[in-house]
Amino acid sequence: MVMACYAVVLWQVKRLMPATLAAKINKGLQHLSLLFIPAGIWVLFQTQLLANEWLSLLLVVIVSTAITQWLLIMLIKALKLSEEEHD
Amino acid sequence: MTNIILFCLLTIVAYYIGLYVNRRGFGVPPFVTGCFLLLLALYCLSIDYATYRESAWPIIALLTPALVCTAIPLSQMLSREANKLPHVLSLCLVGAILSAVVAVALAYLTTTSDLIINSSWVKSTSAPFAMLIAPTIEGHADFAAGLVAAVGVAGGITGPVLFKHLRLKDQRWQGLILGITAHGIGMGIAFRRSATCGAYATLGMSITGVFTAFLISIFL
Repeated sequence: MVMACYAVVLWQVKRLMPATLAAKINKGLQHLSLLFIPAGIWVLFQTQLLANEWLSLLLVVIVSTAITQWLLIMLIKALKLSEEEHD
Repeated sequence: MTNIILFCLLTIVAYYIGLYVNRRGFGVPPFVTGCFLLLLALYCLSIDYATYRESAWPIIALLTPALVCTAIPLSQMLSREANKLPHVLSLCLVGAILSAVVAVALAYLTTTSDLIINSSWVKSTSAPFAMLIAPTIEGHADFAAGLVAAVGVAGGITGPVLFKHLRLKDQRWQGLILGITAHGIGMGIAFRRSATCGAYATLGMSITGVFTAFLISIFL
């Protein structure tokens, strides 16, 4: 359902939606994180889980993110070389 | 009814204070300040999570339309910079796979908690995606979203440090990486760098979310 709506918006948005509304929505999307606050609160309420699993949470949250970013930067550097050759 | 208004208002006020603190230049994402302020408020009023969640449903219900709205910047970018699209798409695909696999591998090595392992699959999607995907793979929607938010904060800090050290100067790719790995919160940081950076972050966030949703529904 959600994916179908997503696809429709993706293909038809320029025809159906005035540009000013689209710009407003883009601005509103910057405050997307407001909607995550209930979820964030839920995690903070799970003190037992946080106390027991802090190491793996720390690894998943910080280390894996940093590793992914590092790998992506490396990949972009490799891709960029080929881009410059084309130009 | 009064509860609904009270808790929604409380959440929004907490976020606004967070936004104010952020604008004053302390650099703390409004989400973090908002969460802790709200937790403090709930603690002072001695309200448990179930009561809060029951009454804060309008905010949670907005996640799905917000998710569909992320298609709009994507559609605009598709028409404007179509020649970058193959690179953007392939980077998002690689990013989606990499971050899920690295996260699950680390979780698998360090914990036996199924909750954490299952929820790690969706850590690189934006929270509305995560909340919709997580229940389908036996993760917990709220836990996944909280994890996603924490990942966003972490990625927003490590990203700029890595860009500086590895000398990645192109703001478009910086934005894309922030979008792929740090989604909503990374997007906020990217928009502060420049509009192009922000647009690419939005792009990275939406495409990675869609890819992860598809890959998970195919392979898991």
